[in-house]
Amino acid sequence: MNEREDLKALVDGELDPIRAAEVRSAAEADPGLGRELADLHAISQVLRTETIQAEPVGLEETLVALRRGPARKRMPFFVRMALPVAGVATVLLGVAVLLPQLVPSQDVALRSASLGAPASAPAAESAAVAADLDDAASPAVWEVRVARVDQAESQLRSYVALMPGASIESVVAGDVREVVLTVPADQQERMVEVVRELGDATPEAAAASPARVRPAPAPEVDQFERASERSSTGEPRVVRVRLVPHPDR
Amino acid sequence: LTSAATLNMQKPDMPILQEAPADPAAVDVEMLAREHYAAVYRFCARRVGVDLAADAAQEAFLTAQRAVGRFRGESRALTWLLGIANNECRRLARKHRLRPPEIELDPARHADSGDTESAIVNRNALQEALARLSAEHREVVILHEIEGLTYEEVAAVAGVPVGTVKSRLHHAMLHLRRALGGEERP
Repeated sequence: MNEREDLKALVDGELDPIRAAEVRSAAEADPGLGRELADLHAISQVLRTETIQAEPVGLEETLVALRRGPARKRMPFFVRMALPVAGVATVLLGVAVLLPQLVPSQDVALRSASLGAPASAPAAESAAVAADLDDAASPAVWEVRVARVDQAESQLRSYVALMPGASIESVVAGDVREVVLTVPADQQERMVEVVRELGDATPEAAAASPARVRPAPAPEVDQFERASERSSTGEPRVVRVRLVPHPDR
Repeated sequence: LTSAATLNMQKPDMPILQEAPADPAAVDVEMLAREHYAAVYRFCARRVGVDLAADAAQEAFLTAQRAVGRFRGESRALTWLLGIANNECRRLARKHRLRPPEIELDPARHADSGDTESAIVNRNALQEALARLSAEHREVVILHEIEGLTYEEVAAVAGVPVGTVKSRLHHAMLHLRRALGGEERP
Protein backbone atom coordinates (compact mmCIF):
# COMPACT_ATOMS: atom_id res chain seq x y z
CA MET A 1 0.00 0.00 0.00
CA ASN A 2 1.19 3.54 -0.73
CA GLU A 3 2.48 5.05 2.52
CA ARG A 4 2.48 8.53 1.02
CA GLU A 5 -1.30 8.54 0.73
CA ASP A 6 -1.57 7.73 4.41
CA LEU A 7 0.77 10.46 5.65
CA LYS A 8 -2.05 12.94 6.20
CA ALA A 9 -4.12 10.35 8.03
CA LEU A 10 -1.08 9.63 10.21
CA VAL A 11 -0.79 13.33 11.08
CA ASP A 12 -4.50 13.37 11.93
CA GLY A 13 -4.37 10.21 14.05
CA GLU A 14 -6.90 8.52 11.79
CA LEU A 15 -4.93 5.30 11.18
CA ASP A 16 -5.23 2.14 13.20
CA PRO A 17 -2.13 1.42 15.34
CA ILE A 18 -0.65 -1.21 13.02
CA ARG A 19 -0.94 0.94 9.91
CA ALA A 20 0.29 4.00 11.80
CA ALA A 21 3.44 2.11 12.78
CA GLU A 22 4.02 1.01 9.19
CA VAL A 23 3.68 4.54 7.81
CA ARG A 24 5.82 6.02 10.58
CA SER A 25 8.57 3.49 9.88
CA ALA A 26 8.41 4.26 6.16
CA ALA A 27 8.70 7.99 6.87
CA GLU A 28 11.73 7.40 9.05
CA ALA A 29 13.39 5.26 6.39
CA ASP A 30 12.62 7.61 3.46
CA PRO A 31 13.86 11.24 3.89
CA GLY A 32 11.41 12.45 1.25
CA LEU A 33 8.45 10.95 3.09
CA GLY A 34 9.84 12.33 6.33
CA ARG A 35 9.97 15.88 4.91
CA GLU A 36 6.46 15.55 3.58
CA LEU A 37 5.22 14.34 6.93
CA ALA A 38 6.79 17.36 8.61
CA ASP A 39 5.32 19.75 6.03
CA LEU A 40 1.83 18.30 6.42
CA HIS A 41 2.12 18.62 10.16
CA ALA A 42 3.23 22.24 9.87
CA ILE A 43 0.45 23.20 7.44
CA SER A 44 -2.17 21.58 9.67
CA GLN A 45 -0.75 23.42 12.65
CA VAL A 46 -1.06 26.79 10.89
CA LEU A 47 -4.61 26.11 9.74
CA ARG A 48 -5.75 24.99 13.17
CA THR A 49 -4.20 27.81 15.16
CA GLU A 50 -4.00 30.85 12.91
CA THR A 51 -7.31 30.92 11.06
CA ILE A 52 -9.23 34.07 11.88
CA GLN A 53 -12.50 33.28 13.61
CA ALA A 54 -15.49 35.47 12.79
CA GLU A 55 -17.24 36.99 15.78
CA PRO A 56 -20.70 35.42 15.97
CA VAL A 57 -23.71 37.69 15.65
CA GLY A 58 -27.39 36.88 15.50
CA LEU A 59 -27.79 34.47 18.40
CA GLU A 60 -30.58 36.47 20.04
CA GLU A 61 -32.50 36.78 16.76
CA THR A 62 -32.18 33.05 16.26
CA LEU A 63 -33.48 32.36 19.78
CA VAL A 64 -36.45 34.64 19.14
CA ALA A 65 -37.18 32.82 15.89
CA LEU A 66 -36.96 29.47 17.64
CA ARG A 67 -39.36 30.62 20.35
CA ARG A 68 -41.96 31.37 17.69
CA GLY A 69 -42.05 27.64 17.18
CA PRO A 70 -41.26 25.43 14.22
CA ALA A 71 -41.62 27.51 11.13
CA ARG A 72 -43.42 26.12 8.17
CA LYS A 73 -41.06 25.05 5.49
CA ARG A 74 -40.99 27.64 2.78
CA MET A 75 -42.70 26.46 -0.32
CA PRO A 76 -40.57 26.09 -3.42
CA PHE A 77 -40.61 29.03 -5.81
CA PHE A 78 -42.61 27.29 -8.52
CA VAL A 79 -45.30 26.29 -6.01
CA ARG A 80 -45.57 29.86 -4.72
CA MET A 81 -45.93 31.10 -8.28
CA ALA A 82 -48.42 28.39 -9.23
CA LEU A 83 -50.87 29.10 -6.40
CA PRO A 84 -52.22 32.45 -7.72
CA VAL A 85 -52.47 30.98 -11.21
CA ALA A 86 -54.40 28.02 -9.84
CA GLY A 87 -56.71 30.41 -7.97
CA VAL A 88 -57.48 32.41 -11.09
CA ALA A 89 -58.01 29.21 -13.08
CA THR A 90 -60.44 27.95 -10.43
CA VAL A 91 -62.45 31.16 -10.57
CA LEU A 92 -62.58 31.06 -14.37
CA LEU A 93 -63.65 27.42 -14.30
CA GLY A 94 -66.36 28.23 -11.77
CA VAL A 95 -67.65 31.03 -13.98
CA ALA A 96 -67.61 28.74 -16.99
CA VAL A 97 -69.68 26.15 -15.13
CA LEU A 98 -72.14 28.53 -13.49
CA LEU A 99 -72.64 31.03 -16.29
CA PRO A 100 -74.71 28.70 -18.51
CA GLN A 101 -77.17 28.22 -15.64
CA LEU A 102 -77.42 31.93 -14.87
CA VAL A 103 -77.78 33.05 -18.51
CA PRO A 104 -79.91 30.47 -20.29
CA SER A 105 -79.82 30.35 -24.07
CA GLN A 106 -81.17 27.96 -26.63
CA ASP A 107 -77.88 26.19 -26.97
CA VAL A 108 -77.26 26.06 -23.23
CA ALA A 109 -80.78 24.83 -22.56
CA LEU A 110 -80.24 22.06 -25.03
CA ARG A 111 -77.19 20.89 -23.15
CA SER A 112 -78.77 20.95 -19.71
CA ALA A 113 -81.78 18.97 -20.88
CA SER A 114 -80.05 16.19 -22.71
CA LEU A 115 -79.80 12.70 -21.26
CA GLY A 116 -81.63 13.83 -18.16
CA ALA A 117 -78.54 15.70 -17.01
CA PRO A 118 -79.32 17.92 -14.03
CA ALA A 119 -79.06 21.66 -14.48
CA SER A 120 -75.98 21.72 -12.32
CA ALA A 121 -74.08 19.14 -14.32
CA PRO A 122 -70.56 20.20 -15.23
CA ALA A 123 -70.24 22.03 -18.52
CA ALA A 124 -67.89 19.40 -19.86
CA GLU A 125 -70.43 16.66 -19.27
CA SER A 126 -73.19 18.71 -20.85
CA ALA A 127 -71.00 19.38 -23.83
CA ALA A 128 -70.37 15.68 -24.22
CA VAL A 129 -74.08 14.98 -24.03
CA ALA A 130 -74.78 17.68 -26.60
CA ALA A 131 -72.23 16.06 -28.83
CA ASP A 132 -74.11 12.81 -28.43
CA LEU A 133 -77.22 14.49 -29.83
CA ASP A 134 -75.37 15.18 -33.02
CA ASP A 135 -74.78 11.48 -33.41
CA ALA A 136 -77.77 9.94 -35.18
CA ALA A 137 -77.01 6.60 -33.56
CA SER A 138 -77.37 8.11 -30.12
CA PRO A 139 -81.02 8.85 -29.35
CA ALA A 140 -82.06 11.90 -27.38
CA VAL A 141 -83.68 11.48 -24.00
CA TRP A 142 -86.63 13.40 -22.69
CA GLU A 143 -87.22 12.97 -19.01
CA VAL A 144 -90.76 13.65 -17.84
CA ARG A 145 -92.38 13.25 -14.46
CA VAL A 146 -95.74 11.54 -14.39
CA ALA A 147 -98.34 10.69 -11.77
CA ARG A 148 -98.36 7.00 -12.76
CA VAL A 149 -95.66 5.56 -14.93
CA ASP A 150 -97.69 2.61 -16.24
CA GLN A 151 -100.64 4.75 -17.29
CA ALA A 152 -98.35 7.33 -18.92
CA GLU A 153 -96.75 4.57 -20.93
CA SER A 154 -100.17 3.31 -21.99
CA GLN A 155 -101.03 6.84 -23.07
CA LEU A 156 -97.91 7.02 -25.22
CA ARG A 157 -98.58 3.57 -26.68
CA SER A 158 -102.04 4.68 -27.71
CA TYR A 159 -100.58 7.70 -29.47
CA VAL A 160 -97.94 5.62 -31.19
CA ALA A 161 -100.57 3.09 -32.27
CA LEU A 162 -102.27 5.86 -34.21
CA MET A 163 -99.01 6.86 -35.96
CA PRO A 164 -98.25 4.86 -39.10
CA GLY A 165 -94.74 3.45 -39.02
CA ALA A 166 -94.13 4.41 -35.40
CA SER A 167 -93.11 1.94 -32.72
CA ILE A 168 -92.51 1.92 -29.00
CA GLU A 169 -90.40 -0.20 -26.68
CA SER A 170 -89.99 0.16 -22.96
CA VAL A 171 -87.44 -0.81 -20.36
CA VAL A 172 -88.35 -0.94 -16.67
CA ALA A 173 -85.73 0.08 -14.14
CA GLY A 174 -87.27 0.33 -10.69
CA ASP A 175 -89.80 3.13 -10.59
CA VAL A 176 -88.46 4.59 -13.80
CA ARG A 177 -89.55 3.45 -17.23
CA GLU A 178 -87.65 4.33 -20.31
CA VAL A 179 -89.60 4.37 -23.50
CA VAL A 180 -87.87 4.19 -26.85
CA LEU A 181 -89.94 5.75 -29.59
CA THR A 182 -89.17 5.28 -33.25
CA VAL A 183 -90.88 8.07 -35.14
CA PRO A 184 -91.06 8.21 -38.96
CA ALA A 185 -89.85 11.39 -40.54
CA ASP A 186 -93.30 12.40 -41.73
CA GLN A 187 -94.73 11.90 -38.23
CA GLN A 188 -92.17 13.89 -36.32
CA GLU A 189 -94.22 17.07 -36.20
CA ARG A 190 -97.20 15.12 -34.97
CA MET A 191 -95.11 13.53 -32.27
CA VAL A 192 -93.92 16.95 -31.19
CA GLU A 193 -97.54 18.06 -30.90
CA VAL A 194 -98.36 15.01 -28.85
CA VAL A 195 -95.59 15.79 -26.49
CA ARG A 196 -96.62 19.43 -26.41
CA GLU A 197 -100.12 18.34 -25.50
CA LEU A 198 -98.76 16.26 -22.73
CA GLY A 199 -96.61 19.17 -21.71
CA ASP A 200 -99.66 21.43 -21.42
CA ALA A 201 -100.92 19.45 -18.44
CA THR A 202 -100.65 21.24 -15.12
CA PRO A 203 -99.77 19.47 -11.86
CA GLU A 204 -103.41 19.76 -10.81
CA ALA A 205 -104.53 18.25 -14.07
CA ALA A 206 -101.96 15.53 -13.69
CA ALA A 207 -103.36 14.74 -10.25
CA ALA A 208 -106.89 14.62 -11.64
CA SER A 209 -105.86 12.55 -14.60
CA PRO A 210 -102.96 10.34 -13.55
CA ALA A 211 -102.18 9.34 -17.07
CA ARG A 212 -101.28 12.87 -18.07
CA VAL A 213 -97.67 13.65 -18.25
CA ARG A 214 -96.54 16.51 -16.09
CA PRO A 215 -95.24 19.49 -18.04
CA ALA A 216 -91.68 19.09 -19.05
CA PRO A 217 -89.30 22.03 -18.82
CA ALA A 218 -89.15 24.17 -21.92
CA PRO A 219 -85.55 23.24 -22.74
CA GLU A 220 -86.58 19.62 -23.03
CA VAL A 221 -89.29 20.51 -25.50
CA ASP A 222 -86.75 22.48 -27.49
CA GLN A 223 -84.46 19.54 -27.40
CA PHE A 224 -87.10 17.22 -28.77
CA GLU A 225 -88.00 19.64 -31.52
CA ARG A 226 -84.41 20.03 -32.49
CA ALA A 227 -83.97 16.29 -32.51
CA SER A 228 -86.94 15.95 -34.81
CA GLU A 229 -85.75 18.71 -37.08
CA ARG A 230 -82.34 17.21 -37.41
CA SER A 231 -83.80 13.90 -38.50
CA SER A 232 -85.96 15.43 -41.23
CA THR A 233 -83.86 13.71 -43.86
CA GLY A 234 -86.45 10.95 -44.12
CA GLU A 235 -84.90 8.49 -41.70
CA PRO A 236 -86.90 7.50 -38.63
CA ARG A 237 -85.85 9.34 -35.51
CA VAL A 238 -85.32 7.33 -32.36
CA VAL A 239 -86.21 9.23 -29.20
CA ARG A 240 -85.99 7.97 -25.68
CA VAL A 241 -88.52 9.21 -23.14
CA ARG A 242 -87.76 8.51 -19.51
CA LEU A 243 -90.89 8.36 -17.38
CA VAL A 244 -90.16 9.23 -13.79
CA PRO A 245 -92.71 9.14 -10.97
CA HIS A 246 -93.79 12.61 -9.89
CA PRO A 247 -92.48 13.45 -6.43
CA ASP A 248 -95.76 15.21 -5.47
CA ARG A 249 -97.84 12.19 -6.24
CA LEU B 1 -36.03 17.47 29.10
CA THR B 2 -37.14 13.89 29.15
CA SER B 3 -34.84 10.96 29.70
CA ALA B 4 -35.24 10.14 26.02
CA ALA B 5 -33.28 13.21 25.05
CA THR B 6 -30.73 14.07 27.66
CA LEU B 7 -28.65 17.15 27.08
CA ASN B 8 -25.09 17.03 28.28
CA MET B 9 -24.05 20.62 28.74
CA GLN B 10 -21.07 19.87 30.96
CA LYS B 11 -19.15 17.88 28.38
CA PRO B 12 -19.24 19.70 25.05
CA ASP B 13 -17.21 16.99 23.35
CA MET B 14 -19.72 14.34 24.26
CA PRO B 15 -22.92 13.83 22.31
CA ILE B 16 -25.26 16.53 23.45
CA LEU B 17 -28.22 14.34 22.62
CA GLN B 18 -27.46 10.96 24.06
CA GLU B 19 -30.11 9.13 22.10
CA ALA B 20 -32.81 9.70 19.57
CA PRO B 21 -35.52 11.88 21.07
CA ALA B 22 -38.82 10.08 21.49
CA ASP B 23 -40.71 13.34 21.64
CA PRO B 24 -39.38 16.11 19.40
CA ALA B 25 -41.19 18.70 21.48
CA ALA B 26 -39.13 17.62 24.48
CA VAL B 27 -35.85 18.62 22.87
CA ASP B 28 -34.80 22.14 23.72
CA VAL B 29 -33.43 23.44 20.44
CA GLU B 30 -32.91 26.79 22.11
CA MET B 31 -30.39 25.16 24.40
CA LEU B 32 -28.70 23.58 21.39
CA ALA B 33 -28.51 27.02 19.82
CA ARG B 34 -26.95 28.57 22.92
CA GLU B 35 -24.38 25.79 22.99
CA HIS B 36 -23.49 25.57 19.31
CA TYR B 37 -24.52 28.82 17.65
CA ALA B 38 -20.99 30.21 17.59
CA ALA B 39 -19.55 27.12 15.90
CA VAL B 40 -22.37 26.98 13.37
CA TYR B 41 -22.07 30.71 12.66
CA ARG B 42 -18.31 30.52 12.12
CA PHE B 43 -18.72 27.56 9.81
CA CYS B 44 -21.35 29.46 7.82
CA ALA B 45 -19.12 32.54 7.69
CA ARG B 46 -16.38 30.45 6.09
CA ARG B 47 -18.80 28.99 3.59
CA VAL B 48 -20.91 31.99 2.57
CA GLY B 49 -19.22 35.00 4.21
CA VAL B 50 -20.13 37.06 7.24
CA ASP B 51 -22.89 38.96 5.44
CA LEU B 52 -25.02 35.83 5.06
CA ALA B 53 -23.65 33.80 7.96
CA ALA B 54 -26.30 34.90 10.48
CA ASP B 55 -29.13 34.12 8.04
CA ALA B 56 -27.64 30.74 7.23
CA ALA B 57 -27.08 29.88 10.87
CA GLN B 58 -30.59 30.91 11.88
CA GLU B 59 -32.12 28.92 9.04
CA ALA B 60 -30.02 25.94 10.06
CA PHE B 61 -31.39 26.04 13.62
CA LEU B 62 -34.96 26.50 12.40
CA THR B 63 -34.49 23.49 10.15
CA ALA B 64 -33.07 21.58 13.11
CA GLN B 65 -36.16 22.51 15.11
CA ARG B 66 -38.39 21.03 12.42
CA ALA B 67 -36.21 17.96 11.92
CA VAL B 68 -35.22 17.16 15.49
CA GLY B 69 -37.61 14.19 15.49
CA ARG B 70 -35.50 12.58 12.78
CA PHE B 71 -32.20 13.02 14.63
CA ARG B 72 -31.06 9.50 15.47
CA GLY B 73 -28.46 10.49 18.01
CA GLU B 74 -25.75 8.53 16.20
CA SER B 75 -23.48 11.56 16.02
CA ARG B 76 -22.69 14.62 18.05
CA ALA B 77 -25.35 17.28 17.94
CA LEU B 78 -22.78 19.71 16.52
CA THR B 79 -22.04 17.33 13.66
CA TRP B 80 -25.75 17.07 12.94
CA LEU B 81 -26.13 20.86 13.07
CA LEU B 82 -23.14 21.44 10.80
CA GLY B 83 -24.62 18.99 8.31
CA ILE B 84 -27.81 21.05 8.23
CA ALA B 85 -25.81 24.28 8.02
CA ASN B 86 -23.72 22.85 5.20
CA ASN B 87 -26.85 22.19 3.15
CA GLU B 88 -28.17 25.67 3.89
CA CYS B 89 -24.86 27.23 2.85
CA ARG B 90 -24.86 25.27 -0.39
CA ARG B 91 -28.37 26.55 -1.10
CA LEU B 92 -27.41 30.14 -0.36
CA ALA B 93 -24.22 29.88 -2.40
CA ARG B 94 -26.20 28.65 -5.40
CA LYS B 95 -28.93 31.25 -4.91
CA HIS B 96 -26.54 34.19 -4.65
CA ARG B 97 -23.89 32.71 -6.97
CA LEU B 98 -21.32 33.24 -4.26
CA ARG B 99 -17.62 32.81 -4.58
CA PRO B 100 -16.22 31.16 -1.46
CA PRO B 101 -14.80 33.71 0.97
CA GLU B 102 -11.12 33.66 1.73
CA ILE B 103 -9.82 31.63 4.63
CA GLU B 104 -7.88 34.34 6.40
CA LEU B 105 -4.85 33.70 8.56
CA ASP B 106 -3.74 35.89 11.43
CA PRO B 107 0.06 36.26 11.52
CA ALA B 108 -0.11 37.67 15.03
CA ARG B 109 -1.21 34.29 16.30
CA HIS B 110 1.89 32.72 14.81
CA ALA B 111 4.10 35.26 16.54
CA ASP B 112 2.33 34.61 19.82
CA SER B 113 2.56 30.84 19.58
CA GLY B 114 6.33 30.72 19.09
CA ASP B 115 5.85 27.50 17.17
CA THR B 116 9.10 26.75 15.34
CA GLU B 117 7.78 23.84 13.31
CA SER B 118 5.30 25.96 11.37
CA ALA B 119 7.80 28.79 10.90
CA ILE B 120 8.75 27.37 7.53
CA VAL B 121 5.24 27.91 6.18
CA ASN B 122 4.84 30.97 4.01
CA ARG B 123 1.49 32.38 5.19
CA ASN B 124 0.84 34.48 2.10
CA ALA B 125 1.49 31.57 -0.22
CA LEU B 126 -0.68 29.32 1.95
CA GLN B 127 -3.55 31.79 1.88
CA GLU B 128 -3.34 32.07 -1.89
CA ALA B 129 -3.26 28.29 -2.20
CA LEU B 130 -6.31 27.98 0.06
CA ALA B 131 -8.19 30.35 -2.25
CA ARG B 132 -7.41 28.10 -5.20
CA LEU B 133 -8.72 24.91 -3.61
CA SER B 134 -11.69 23.27 -5.29
CA ALA B 135 -15.01 23.44 -3.49
CA GLU B 136 -14.77 19.80 -2.38
CA HIS B 137 -11.22 20.16 -1.09
CA ARG B 138 -12.03 23.42 0.62
CA GLU B 139 -15.03 21.83 2.33
CA VAL B 140 -13.05 19.02 3.93
CA VAL B 141 -10.19 21.35 4.90
CA ILE B 142 -12.62 23.65 6.71
CA LEU B 143 -14.48 20.83 8.42
CA HIS B 144 -11.42 18.87 9.48
CA GLU B 145 -8.58 21.35 9.94
CA ILE B 146 -10.52 24.36 11.16
CA GLU B 147 -13.69 22.94 12.73
CA GLY B 148 -11.79 19.99 14.14
CA LEU B 149 -14.17 17.25 13.03
CA THR B 150 -12.95 13.68 12.66
CA TYR B 151 -12.93 12.01 9.24
CA GLU B 152 -16.14 10.21 10.13
CA GLU B 153 -17.83 13.42 11.18
CA VAL B 154 -16.66 15.23 8.06
CA ALA B 155 -18.11 12.38 6.02
CA ALA B 156 -21.45 12.75 7.82
CA VAL B 157 -21.57 16.51 7.30
CA ALA B 158 -20.44 16.46 3.66
CA GLY B 159 -22.52 13.39 2.83
CA VAL B 160 -19.63 11.39 1.37
CA PRO B 161 -17.88 8.15 2.43
CA VAL B 162 -15.01 8.32 4.91
CA GLY B 163 -12.62 7.09 2.23
CA THR B 164 -13.56 10.06 0.08
CA VAL B 165 -12.83 12.44 2.95
CA LYS B 166 -9.41 10.85 3.42
CA SER B 167 -8.65 11.08 -0.28
CA ARG B 168 -9.84 14.66 -0.59
CA LEU B 169 -7.78 15.73 2.41
CA HIS B 170 -4.70 14.00 1.03
CA HIS B 171 -5.02 15.77 -2.31
CA ALA B 172 -5.92 19.11 -0.75
CA MET B 173 -2.83 19.02 1.44
CA LEU B 174 -0.75 17.88 -1.52
CA HIS B 175 -1.95 20.95 -3.38
CA LEU B 176 -1.15 23.26 -0.46
CA ARG B 177 2.30 21.76 0.06
CA ARG B 178 3.08 22.06 -3.64
CA ALA B 179 2.02 25.71 -3.55
CA LEU B 180 4.41 26.25 -0.67
CA GLY B 181 7.25 24.74 -2.67
CA GLY B 182 7.48 21.73 -0.41
CA GLU B 183 8.14 19.28 -3.23
CA GLU B 184 11.13 21.26 -4.47
CA ARG B 185 12.89 21.39 -1.14
CA PRO B 186 15.81 18.97 -0.77
